[in-house]
Amino acid sequence: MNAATTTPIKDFDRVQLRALLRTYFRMSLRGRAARMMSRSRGGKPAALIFLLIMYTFIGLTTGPMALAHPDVFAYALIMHVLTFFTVGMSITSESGDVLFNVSENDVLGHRPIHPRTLLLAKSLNLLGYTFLLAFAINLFPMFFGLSAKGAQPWFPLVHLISVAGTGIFCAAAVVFVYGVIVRFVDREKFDNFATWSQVGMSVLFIGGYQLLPRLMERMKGFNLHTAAPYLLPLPPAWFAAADAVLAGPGPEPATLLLMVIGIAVTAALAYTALGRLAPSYGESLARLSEARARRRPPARRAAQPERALNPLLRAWLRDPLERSAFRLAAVYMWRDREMKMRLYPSLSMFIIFPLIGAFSRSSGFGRLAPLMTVWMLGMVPTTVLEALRMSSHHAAAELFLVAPLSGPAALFDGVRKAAIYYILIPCLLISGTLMVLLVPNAADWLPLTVPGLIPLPALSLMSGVMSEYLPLSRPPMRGEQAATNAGLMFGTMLTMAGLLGAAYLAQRSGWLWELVGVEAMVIGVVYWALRRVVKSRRMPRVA
Amino acid sequence: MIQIRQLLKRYGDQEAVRGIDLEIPTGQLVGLLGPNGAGKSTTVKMLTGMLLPTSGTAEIFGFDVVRDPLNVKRIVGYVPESGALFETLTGQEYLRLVAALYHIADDEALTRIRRFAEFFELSDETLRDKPLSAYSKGMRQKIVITAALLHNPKVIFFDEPLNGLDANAALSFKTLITSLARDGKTIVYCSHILDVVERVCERVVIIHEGRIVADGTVAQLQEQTGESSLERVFNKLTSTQNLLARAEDFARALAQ
Repeated sequence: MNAATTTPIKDFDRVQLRALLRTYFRMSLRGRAARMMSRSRGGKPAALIFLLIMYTFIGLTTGPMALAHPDVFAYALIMHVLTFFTVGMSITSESGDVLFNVSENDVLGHRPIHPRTLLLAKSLNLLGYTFLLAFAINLFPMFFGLSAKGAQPWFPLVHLISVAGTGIFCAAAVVFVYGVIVRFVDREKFDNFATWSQVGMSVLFIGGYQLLPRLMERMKGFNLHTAAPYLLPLPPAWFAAADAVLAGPGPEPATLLLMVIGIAVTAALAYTALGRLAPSYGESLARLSEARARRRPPARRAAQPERALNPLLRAWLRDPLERSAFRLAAVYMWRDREMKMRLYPSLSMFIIFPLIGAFSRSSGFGRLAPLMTVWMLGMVPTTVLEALRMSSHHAAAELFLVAPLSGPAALFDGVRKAAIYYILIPCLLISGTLMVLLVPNAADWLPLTVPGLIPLPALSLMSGVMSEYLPLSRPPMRGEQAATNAGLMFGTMLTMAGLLGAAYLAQRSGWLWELVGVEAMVIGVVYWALRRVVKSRRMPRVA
Repeated sequence: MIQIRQLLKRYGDQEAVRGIDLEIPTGQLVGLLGPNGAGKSTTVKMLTGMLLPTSGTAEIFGFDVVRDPLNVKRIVGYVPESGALFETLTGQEYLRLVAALYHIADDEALTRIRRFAEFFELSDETLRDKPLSAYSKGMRQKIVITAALLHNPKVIFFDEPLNGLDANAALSFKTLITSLARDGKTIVYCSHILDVVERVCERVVIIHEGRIVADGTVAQLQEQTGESSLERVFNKLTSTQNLLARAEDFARALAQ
């Protein structure tokens, strides 16, 4: 008998846990797979490094708020809200790949690993990622925090620990939500539930972030009443209270209560996720790896890719290769669980902004939110196109290299048009409708959306301009989606703010339509030039 | 020994495996054959604890695959048809991970890995320095086979193990599995390469549409069906059409 059969089976097997953690860590740094077209990318976690630099920069620009001497609780709360939003969003977009990577079942499914050990390894992997991001955001703010009113010299250390608490809470919450879904939802419904729960979590995290401007509005003089009942259900307040208790003026009943709630809820979430829901995790992985039942798909779903055949689309998609790429993109957007879990949470901010408008109709921000949504739609095509560039089926994209194609332009255009048809146009219609319904004096504000709509076709070309675009050709990499989204949001926000300001000034001085005319002409030229760049791109060669 | 009773797997309305009964004694090398979609891989995945059966039971050396999957997994080795690996790892990193999952001490693991590397003619540098993504298909398959045998399992399931192996490696592998069976390992060998099965397997089980349609030695099956080779036996039991005539018609249509 060999070693394998003599060791007793444990729920938490340390040897296996160590080996799995080492493996996941290596894979996170090197990219989950590096084959063929992506070979040159292996070994360099560029997306993760970019994300960390950007988060450190966000922290660097937010931290100096402490120089205005807010009290420790108020300052820590702002930093925890920021951490909660950014880390929560990132972990949500990465968690599906980590927890439910179906192809991993062929590698580990027949190995004697207890589901609890496997889930713990994956959760710790997620937690490590969470800590990296959370610490990047708080790297500078924890030292700026020494300027907060009543801060003790050990504030940086305590803040680091409380930020770890926020990270643990976010990771435990995500694992818990998935644990509940896989336990109570069958295989057929899992994909949709998982996708929509990710969207829900993203909405919650973005919604939570909206606390920030409200708190800043409420905290005139940066002082917050810690006993306010609305702070009780807010996770960032629990961990900010830990800062105030341990590195601030000392314990008060209200901050002590918030801290205890934080510790208790986080412990309960982690225990339930790992202790109670783990056994069903193993079964769920097995169920997920099963071939799907050959049930007749619902009529609506089946019809999606076939819409490409309607006369209007047929005219738009005259090139057969473009039409095929359009169908391929449509099918992946509607049917591929991995794609849905990566794509739709990225789009959730377009849901939340009009909703914020609905809840803050009286404030200036409430009027601006739907308008901002329309302006931010410029990043939708690139978000979708970048999501559609990555897939665990990336090896199949070798098909494009083998086919006698001179360049990727037709493939890119097909996917781009799918992004416009299935995502951008519905987003435009929804935000337009919400804007008309929610914004007081919409007639005055609606013309301001026009300058934001004109660049959309040109913006949709960006992915094809920046590099040779082949759909589904890159393996998913740690931080890539989050980095792309953060980069896009940052860039688009800046451009949007500038253009929106110009449009507003032009409207006030009666030059709006002249501005629109000039913009249309300039964008027309830019569009023509960008299309030439896309068309001149050659097929990438294998290194 | 493997004991399967009324094993059934249903996906929605479709039955992939329809109540299989089978017993495989210790040390037997059994060929599991069947056309595409016959239920071979589904059966093997249920026996390795990767898939839950809808009903029926399966035991491997007394361990029930549903009630005691971890003990089943400890004594089983499996070469999946997909040849899936963690491609970002080097060959050595991947095999050390596999060894750790079976609690094989690191020194012992390295010794075993070296032994397999010598057998499969994989150089130390390749194993140590190159990510699996840079391996050829045959080299990857050698790693998959090594990963299945590293913990010295009592029962081994091979699903198309010769995928990508060159003629020399395939020859060595065929000799290896017959030696393993002689040493008392129970081996289930799924393949579409019938002449290999005919040569190495002492017993052949043919599955068609989720049911066992033939079980015996190659000679017994030939006698039962009145056919001269395993290929013809297979064709007779799993196809209703004249394949040769169909292929000729199709080739003619392609040429037109």
